[in-house]
Amino acid sequence: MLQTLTLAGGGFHVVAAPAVAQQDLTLDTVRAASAFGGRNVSEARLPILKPVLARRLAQVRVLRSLDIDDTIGPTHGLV
Amino acid sequence: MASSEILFQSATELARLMRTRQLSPVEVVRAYLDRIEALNPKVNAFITVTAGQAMEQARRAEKEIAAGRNRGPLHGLPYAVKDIVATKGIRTTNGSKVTSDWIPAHESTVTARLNRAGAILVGKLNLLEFAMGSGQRGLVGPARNPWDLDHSPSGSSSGSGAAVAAGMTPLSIGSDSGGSIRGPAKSCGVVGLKPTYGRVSLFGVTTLSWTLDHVGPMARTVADVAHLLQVMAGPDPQDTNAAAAPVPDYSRALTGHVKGLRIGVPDSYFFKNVQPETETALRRALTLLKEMGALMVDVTVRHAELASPASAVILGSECAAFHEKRLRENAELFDPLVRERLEASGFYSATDYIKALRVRTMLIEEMRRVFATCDVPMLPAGNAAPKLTDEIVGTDVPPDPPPPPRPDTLNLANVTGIPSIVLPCGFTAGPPVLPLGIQFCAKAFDEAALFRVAHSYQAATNWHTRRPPQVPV
Repeated sequence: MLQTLTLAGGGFHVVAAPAVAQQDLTLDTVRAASAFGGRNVSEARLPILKPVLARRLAQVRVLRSLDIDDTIGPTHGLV
Repeated sequence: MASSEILFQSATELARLMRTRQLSPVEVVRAYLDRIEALNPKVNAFITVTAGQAMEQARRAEKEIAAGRNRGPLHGLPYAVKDIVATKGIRTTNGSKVTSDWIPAHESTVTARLNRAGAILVGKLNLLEFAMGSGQRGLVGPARNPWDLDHSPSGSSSGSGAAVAAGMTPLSIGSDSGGSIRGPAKSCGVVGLKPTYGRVSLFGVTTLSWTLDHVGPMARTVADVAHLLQVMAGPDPQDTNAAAAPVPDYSRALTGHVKGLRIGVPDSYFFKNVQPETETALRRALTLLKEMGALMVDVTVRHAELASPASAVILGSECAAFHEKRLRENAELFDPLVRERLEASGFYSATDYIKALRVRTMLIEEMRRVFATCDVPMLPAGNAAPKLTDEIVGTDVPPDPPPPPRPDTLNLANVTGIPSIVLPCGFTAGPPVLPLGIQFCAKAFDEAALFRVAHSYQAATNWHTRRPPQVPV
């Protein structure tokens, strides 16, 4: 589900939008992502990492599905 | 005073007894060193014990106090520090084979300040490797929960919680990037504070995540934690993220009064996966605080469920960047689970990371809105400690069937940088009888509000005075 986050009235509100199709992980996609990211994970490590990444993908998709208002920038640390 | 009487006194009381010459620093330090020697084979809270140096400093403190040169409320008191904090000339392992022989040439700001205040380092405490979360064994095997040695003290400041609970030190220092002070405080039945981001310098604390890391105090009483923070806090030219905001006199918050204080009671999200026994203890604590004059305010933290995904991406991205060279050169020296986490974290994209930082902005704004309606939101601190065999699973791939989900109540304070304290609020019926904890949060740099509510609650209850039965004095 795509969500739109905007600052509104001192907080933020969410607007739901249509879902975006997601591709499942395979060893080939993990290998390609590793090469592109300069990680070059060994063939022996790929099958170990694939289920870990599959689990993380579910979590990171929560963030990827958010559509954040253009006015909201990143906060590094200090509040 | 018999050493058995010394071990479970509050640090504040020990300091008073030393100041009035009813007790000497040498007696106090000796009592704790003996306790460490006797118990560490069981509890495994310490990686390194600095007995020789500690006794030398105790003799010096004794002379100074006798000469009327008292350095303040920590003078002559033993403390121990998570072994992720650099101590000059003393091995600092980070709980890892990668750095197991590291002897820093510099002193962390936190230990430098504690030492200058006359506190006496008795050792370096066990932790999970590089503070990188539960599930792993660590360099010297896991610390054990003094309330039941088959249970975990939680992590990653596992030794910091276990050592205080077992009476091996009255004061300890932990670090917290996703609950690593507050989880052990809850599981071990002690008090743990994650200060505001920037309140305490991180110079000399090995990085897990630059923007989520915090270093903070642990002890059996709220007053002791307040005295520790008083010394630890403040600006530091060696840490550009250390805030310039002045440090208030925290002792003024230890009033015992909560009349008019607005306690936020959150909606159902924060109670999801909280066990009934834990929720009953939390509701009982709120009832007591209401009877003491606090006001209960219903609060909703919108999109609190985004704190953990944002935390996972921020922490993963930052620790993967920090350990990039070590992972490339010494991957086989890492704990297999830590290696797995670091390698997987390298797959996050820059867009993921920045998205997570933008969610942080939104959550900070949301908490500002919440603090307009209440002073100290109460949050559960999690359920009672898990069994070690359930916790050390060695992988993030969930077993089949997956373990029961846990409450999601600790990451919010790290992501938004707000201060948060955990203290005991009851025990499970058992067996085994295990501590339960309650968490309060406050707006940035308002640690005093946390001390006010937590000290008042502790003054009206006796949970913190109970002692773990498996490690009798």
